[in-house]
Amino acid sequence: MANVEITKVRKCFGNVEVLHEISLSIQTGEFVVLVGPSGCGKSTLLRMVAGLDVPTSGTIAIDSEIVNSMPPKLRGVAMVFQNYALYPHMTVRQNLSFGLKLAKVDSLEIKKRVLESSEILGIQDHLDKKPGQLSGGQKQRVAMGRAMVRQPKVFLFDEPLSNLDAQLRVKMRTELSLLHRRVQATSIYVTHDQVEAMTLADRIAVMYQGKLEQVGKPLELYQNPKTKFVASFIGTPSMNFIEGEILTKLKPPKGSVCGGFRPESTFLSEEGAPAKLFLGKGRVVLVEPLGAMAYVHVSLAGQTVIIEAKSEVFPKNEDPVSVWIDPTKIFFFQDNGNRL
Amino acid sequence: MDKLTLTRQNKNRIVATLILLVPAAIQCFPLLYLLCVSSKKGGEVIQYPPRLLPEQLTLINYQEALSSAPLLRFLLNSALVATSITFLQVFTSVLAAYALSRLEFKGQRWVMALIVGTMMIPGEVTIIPNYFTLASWNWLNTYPALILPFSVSGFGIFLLYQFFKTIPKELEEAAMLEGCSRLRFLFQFMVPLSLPAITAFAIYSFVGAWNQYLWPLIVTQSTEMQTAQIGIGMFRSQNESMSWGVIMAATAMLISPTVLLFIATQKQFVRGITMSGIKG
Ligand SMILES: Nc1ncnc2c1ncn2[C@@H]1O[C@H](COP(=O)(O)OP(=O)(O)O)[C@@H](O)[C@H]1O
Ligand SMILES: [Mg+2]
Repeated sequence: MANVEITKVRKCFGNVEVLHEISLSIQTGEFVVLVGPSGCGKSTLLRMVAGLDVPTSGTIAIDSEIVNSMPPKLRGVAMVFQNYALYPHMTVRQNLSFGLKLAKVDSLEIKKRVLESSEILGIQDHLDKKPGQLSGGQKQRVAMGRAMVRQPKVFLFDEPLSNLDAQLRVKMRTELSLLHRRVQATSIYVTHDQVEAMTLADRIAVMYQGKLEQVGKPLELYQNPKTKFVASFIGTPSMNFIEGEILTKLKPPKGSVCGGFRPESTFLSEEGAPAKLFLGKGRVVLVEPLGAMAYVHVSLAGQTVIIEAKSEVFPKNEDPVSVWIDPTKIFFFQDNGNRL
Repeated sequence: MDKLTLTRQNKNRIVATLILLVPAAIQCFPLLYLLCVSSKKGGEVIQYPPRLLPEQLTLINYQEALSSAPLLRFLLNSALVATSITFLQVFTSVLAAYALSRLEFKGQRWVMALIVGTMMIPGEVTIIPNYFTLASWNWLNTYPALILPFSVSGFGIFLLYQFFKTIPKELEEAAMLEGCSRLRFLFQFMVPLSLPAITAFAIYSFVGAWNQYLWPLIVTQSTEMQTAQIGIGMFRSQNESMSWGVIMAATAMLISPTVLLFIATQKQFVRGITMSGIKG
């Protein structure tokens, strides 16, 4: 078990700088999720912690020891890959024990650990099969088992669930969460799926274009986003944004501002919550009913606003509607994306 | 069988087989003829009109062939030379293909282009310089002279390079994280996973080495060093008085190893050529 300290890490591929001075510290036993759109540099950061890539500048420390030039095998990290990367010509048992054998672990101990982790993961009946004979979910479990048996200081996950179908993904997500509560191992988990991030993480680090946008607890990011990107990325459906200028403030910021409000703080009637702000009249363009509620897309002054409607009767397409918002739940962002 | 039902698929199969039988027969006929002639008694070979099958099977031609030339020695030489060349080519190809497909170094693309380029050069071009080099080392008429000039194959490197590229990089990274060295990964992962391609190349390389004619002819002078192919040639040119039956018997013995090898390994050979990649 160990903490991980990433300090001012930059990474360039040729002339392209894909990571700009990232600093992030991960406590012992913490489950940190790196989340961001595809191509923002999550995998690159993870691979540098693993030792598969070398930082262009900055330092990475595991267990308070700088590991920049330490070969991967000495770092005490285990990684689960998106495509599982199981050894196709070996049985599950051999897959699980390969690393331990290389580390010259006593063969009784290997047996014990393989059995233990395969029971936890429910793959004990498949130990003598080859990866080609397993389903996607089983392969995923073997990949996790392979990381577990080594009892690493840090677990690294690179989009481990994204090759699974939606249903299995949700199931594995829950299992992973329970597993972490049980093992309490320091983990860095990369995903582009914000729901995965919200449900798994102790803390989330949101990345965008090679920068850390914000780091914080899941609800913190949701309730108090520091940038427009975080506000738009966290939460489904995404936050609504409306461009405009602030007229009444004493010292209004230069340039235009952008107001953001979430679908659940947007309403189709004035009733209910106190002091609602009338936004304008619009026309319904799409209704997505989900049972107890519906997402109503309303075209309003040339922009589309999504509203979480909780009434018994939902409006229909082309209906004219009035839109109100809760003024205490509006976030203002500057031109550069920072929160006002 | 009382009821013979032919499904459409079976019918297609039979038609395809019949069509393929024609070229197969054309290919096999000389071999068959060779075997027949080699087991005919003396005068029967030049009988007119000629007959395919011998009146009476005999092994006498084989006996005579064996006693009139050191056929066994030729075969052993060929086996030694071809096995060594195959082993060396596979070994060097595996190492080079790994370096080219997995390591990053300056000039990598140029090295690759150079290797592919060697496939464009006909082997005959290198005969004269190689001959003089070996002559200056006093290596003529030795096994190394027969083997070493062929220890590297551009084709083999290229083939395995292509195959290695299809093995996912994460596999190596996962193994590396577990403490696996590059060499161990190469021989414990890459090689077993590429076995079909390696086997196909090994067979190709072996047959090529076995069938070499010009080079062994040039660098060998004594019968102890000569190979099966030279042996066949010798039978034809030197023993003009020798009966066709004996020549054919000698030839049959000298080509049998490659034929047997092909029959034994044809499944792997076809698989190696048709297989394109590995699924995770
Ligand atoms: N080996 C590499 N060589 C050049 N560019 C790379 C390499 N690996 C990643 N990149 C680039 O770095 C950026 C970040 O990639 P990556 O970390 O894989 O993103 P993510 O995992 O967030 O989708 C991408 O623009 C990608 O094209
Ligand atoms: Mg990635």
